[in-house]
Amino acid sequence: MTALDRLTQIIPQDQALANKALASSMQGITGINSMLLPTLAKTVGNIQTNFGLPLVNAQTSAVSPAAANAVTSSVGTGTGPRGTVTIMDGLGTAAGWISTRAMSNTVTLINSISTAYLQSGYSNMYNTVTGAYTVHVPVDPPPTPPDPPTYLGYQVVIPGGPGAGTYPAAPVPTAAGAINDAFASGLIPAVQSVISGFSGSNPTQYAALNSNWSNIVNQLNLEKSIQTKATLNFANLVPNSTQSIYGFVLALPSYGQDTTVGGTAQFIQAVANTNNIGGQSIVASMRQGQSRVPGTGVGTNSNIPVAANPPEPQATLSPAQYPYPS
Amino acid sequence: MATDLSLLTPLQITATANLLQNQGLGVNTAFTTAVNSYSALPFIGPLISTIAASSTLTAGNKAALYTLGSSSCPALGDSVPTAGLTNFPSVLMGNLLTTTAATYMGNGDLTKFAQGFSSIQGYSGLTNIFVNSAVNSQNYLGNTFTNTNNMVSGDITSVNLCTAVWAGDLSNLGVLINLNNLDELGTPLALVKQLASVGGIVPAIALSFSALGVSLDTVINLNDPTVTASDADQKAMYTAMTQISGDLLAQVLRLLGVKTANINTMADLLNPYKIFPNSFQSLTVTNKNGVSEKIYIDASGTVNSNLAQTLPAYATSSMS
Repeated sequence: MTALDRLTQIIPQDQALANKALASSMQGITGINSMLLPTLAKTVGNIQTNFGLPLVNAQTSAVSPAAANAVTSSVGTGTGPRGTVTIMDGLGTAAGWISTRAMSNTVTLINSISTAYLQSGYSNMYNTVTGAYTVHVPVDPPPTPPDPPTYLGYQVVIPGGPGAGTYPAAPVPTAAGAINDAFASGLIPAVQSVISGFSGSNPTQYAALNSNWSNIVNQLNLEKSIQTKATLNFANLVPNSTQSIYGFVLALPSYGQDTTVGGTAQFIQAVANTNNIGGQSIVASMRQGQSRVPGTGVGTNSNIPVAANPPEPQATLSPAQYPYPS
Repeated sequence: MATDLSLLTPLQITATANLLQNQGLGVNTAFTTAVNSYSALPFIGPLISTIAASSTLTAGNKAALYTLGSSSCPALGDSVPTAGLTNFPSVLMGNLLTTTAATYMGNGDLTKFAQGFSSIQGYSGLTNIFVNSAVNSQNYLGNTFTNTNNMVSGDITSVNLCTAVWAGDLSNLGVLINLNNLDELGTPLALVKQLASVGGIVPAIALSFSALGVSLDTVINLNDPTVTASDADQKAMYTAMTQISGDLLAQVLRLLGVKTANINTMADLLNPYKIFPNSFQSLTVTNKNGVSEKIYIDASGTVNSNLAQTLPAYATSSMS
């Protein structure tokens, strides 16, 4: 390179300075080294600038942190890296994402504590709602036959366990009234009390259960949110849409290439029923997609020709070429 | 319509045959097992039976059965935790999970699953483009970002913001400048080499150089693309160029395709002020501090002398 100190010995000083400045500046143009001057001229002539766009020109970084945050905070609501949305975020429950482990943990935790008293509460509820604890209360003393029996009304008498007692205190005209009073006044508060009581008797399991169920509901809420954003409403899907199967199958090799955590391949593999040839073929199709290493000539595709064989018969259409004069 | 495209593998055909029969995909079996295990817990049965027989209960009592543990320990009431009640009211959690998973898988119609899956897959793919780009944007261009014009122009506007007039001047210069040799921009030797590359050095130029003291070795090798010249030889070349005008200059301009007006001597081709007559005033350079500076400070072509201190060291000093 001929730097400024040398160039000023060759050509006038101001021209040397201008040339070095110009060269330094032009060398910043992307790809200029491999360009011919006429090409640069044409490129420069085609360049559209931000003239007249003062707010754009006022930017001090490629994208302002505020703009980037606005995008990530509004749509980067998934559980993937940097808030990216995974397939599991939208449909994970079908694949057992989060909930399988949480429910298994739940069963283990509950089996480690005594729930007999809670169970008796639920049994009281069942016996109450089915009328087993309903009593038709006669007048006291009862009428002497042949006078017909006379009743004061109905009550529910729960003999023991959560909610034990008589509801309501005085008989009411209908059995349903007594049953509902038993639930509202006795059983529901009692069972709620039993449940919350586990926080004192089994604090570790109580906390762990809540953690697992919190994970489940967070996953369900996330799926609902993602589906809403994707404008997916299962109630509106078209039944027997064969075309959707075609699209799904055609994309299987590319689905297989998304091997990220919570991604497409993991989801499909989780819902593939590998007890039959269909599910196994789905998994195998994805694996075949994973084998497609770009740039190699290895025949991993094994694609079936689509062209009809033998060729389809061709229709006779109207002549499209000029006849030779006779 | 016949086509030679080959799209499907044998495995995909087999998968299709099964999917069209609604086989091959289903709710994850481990998930189903886990939920069923929970629902088989001894205390869950009476609760489910109670709700099933609750037709005589008031709406309030019935609703309470679904939320017995919501605000304390939902797992002990098969309840949806409070955080989910807005989206999922009046349902037991076990049942919610089962029906949700079944719904996702199309409830026996895998074409519905395929539609739902496609929707989520498409949304995910599209969204992640924006998320990743937004995150990456915070490192995009690193500390090389100068302004948005330079960003969208490949830094063309860092040389000249007035692109239209600069393009006009550039267009008039034909092939005067070898853009792969910008390190030597302004040197007589660079001009000679460029001339040699497009048509050769006419004898009159060689004679002129020789007459002004350019060494014989250099003169006889002017058509050699690897020719070198001492600074003294180049200074002599420049002096000779100041005297090349008229027909000889016209020949040089024709060879180089230069159509710029008011090029009076061959030396003018080394003067940015002369070769960019319509755009020199808006020529700029980003200095070593990242600040854009004008190369010319007025309409008469006065060069910004401050650049001698602010250009990058490699441009100013041979010792750098």
